[in-house]
Amino acid sequence: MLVLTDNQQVLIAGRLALIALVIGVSVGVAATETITMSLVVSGALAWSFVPVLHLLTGLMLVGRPTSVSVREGLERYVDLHWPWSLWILAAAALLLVVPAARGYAEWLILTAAVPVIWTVRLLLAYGRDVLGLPLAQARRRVAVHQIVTYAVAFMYIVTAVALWPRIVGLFT
Amino acid sequence: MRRLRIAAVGVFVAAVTAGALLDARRPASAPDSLVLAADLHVHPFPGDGALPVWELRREARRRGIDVIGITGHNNQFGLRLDSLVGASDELPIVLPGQEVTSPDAHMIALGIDHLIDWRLPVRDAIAAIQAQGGVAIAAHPTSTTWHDADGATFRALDGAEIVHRVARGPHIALLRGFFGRVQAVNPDMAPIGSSDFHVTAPLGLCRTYLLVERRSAAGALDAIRRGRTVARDPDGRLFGAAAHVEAVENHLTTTSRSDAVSGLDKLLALGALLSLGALVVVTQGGKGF
Repeated sequence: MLVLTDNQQVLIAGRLALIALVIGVSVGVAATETITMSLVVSGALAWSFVPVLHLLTGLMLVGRPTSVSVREGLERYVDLHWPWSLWILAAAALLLVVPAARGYAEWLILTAAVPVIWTVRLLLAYGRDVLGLPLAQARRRVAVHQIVTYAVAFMYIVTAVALWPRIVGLFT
Repeated sequence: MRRLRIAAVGVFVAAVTAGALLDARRPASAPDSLVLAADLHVHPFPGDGALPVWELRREARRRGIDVIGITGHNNQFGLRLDSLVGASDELPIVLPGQEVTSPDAHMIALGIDHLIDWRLPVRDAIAAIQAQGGVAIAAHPTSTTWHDADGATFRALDGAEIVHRVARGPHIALLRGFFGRVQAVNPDMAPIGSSDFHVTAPLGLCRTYLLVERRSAAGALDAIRRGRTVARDPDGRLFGAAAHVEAVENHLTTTSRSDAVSGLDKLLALGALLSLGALVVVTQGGKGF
């Protein structure tokens, strides 16, 4: 059973709140070129489902580790969002400072290859060093984690952009 | 590390507080005019838009927009969320809508209560929109989003986007070509300019001026239905019937509304991003690896 001490709960909640804040503020600034209290609160609340999913996929990745307790494993796991956090912040700063980049936002997405690869490296090292998994098992666990993460993101996108009618349109 | 963390939090809080104070000093309401500035193609959160409807309303006020059309792709999640948190009746006017995203066409439906089935043929979808008292606007009509349509479909349309934020190079000619073909059989169709706002600023980069008889949602829809609109592209060029363009030009010369945020706004926003970045690096960066 997963039992967290008060201190660990605060620490994990704080890290997750920081992720929500990073996404909410970045998206708000990219969209408005301003920063206000309302944007910060609305953005962080609206995008808080992302750190919740991050935590849930983390629970799946941590499983039942032998070298650390589940709570310590989870505490170390929530720290691994930083490549994505920095990329999101950098992208928002670029769109703010270089307005011409806004017409090419699709190309900016290609640079997400950096946090994608970096996160896999971090998770593999985490699996081996923190969870104490053999390399093959760490690879399997990380592969499942990444597939689930991107599957959830893909499902959101499918719904958000109405992807299915677009696909049908390509073949009619 | 602790000092750095405190400094980052301090800069963030200062930037947000200053930004909020600056925002509060902007004019609270639009001038009392019968020419309304509208962005009729805006994507909300949840969906592929960045901002929930209540923040879109605030952003519209910042950009001098009086009317926004909320157009999720085959969904109204954003509008439902807005009604859950208590939708406001204050300006700007919010027109409930949908971007009907079908294999044959992308179409803006405005003034509708219920979702339009994307599997309907285009002509039937237009009829379904108008049966709800709404208006149907061809969205970024290029060959990839608008397949061949017949004269009856063109005659039924209430409007078509003639300017659009992503229309560059050959796409501009495609939009104008489509508009010309529709106008040949439907001369009163409304020219529409839309930002198709998703994530990147600014809302209202392309916009539509509505020549209304009443400053209300019904008045806005009526102006579109009667073709009393003028589209504006990012360079400020106006498209529409000569008399309508003249009315909008007169309106623009007699009113002074800012639709751009200041350099200080941007500086504060950049400060917030950088301080958050520092906070991420201090608290998480390079942890253990």
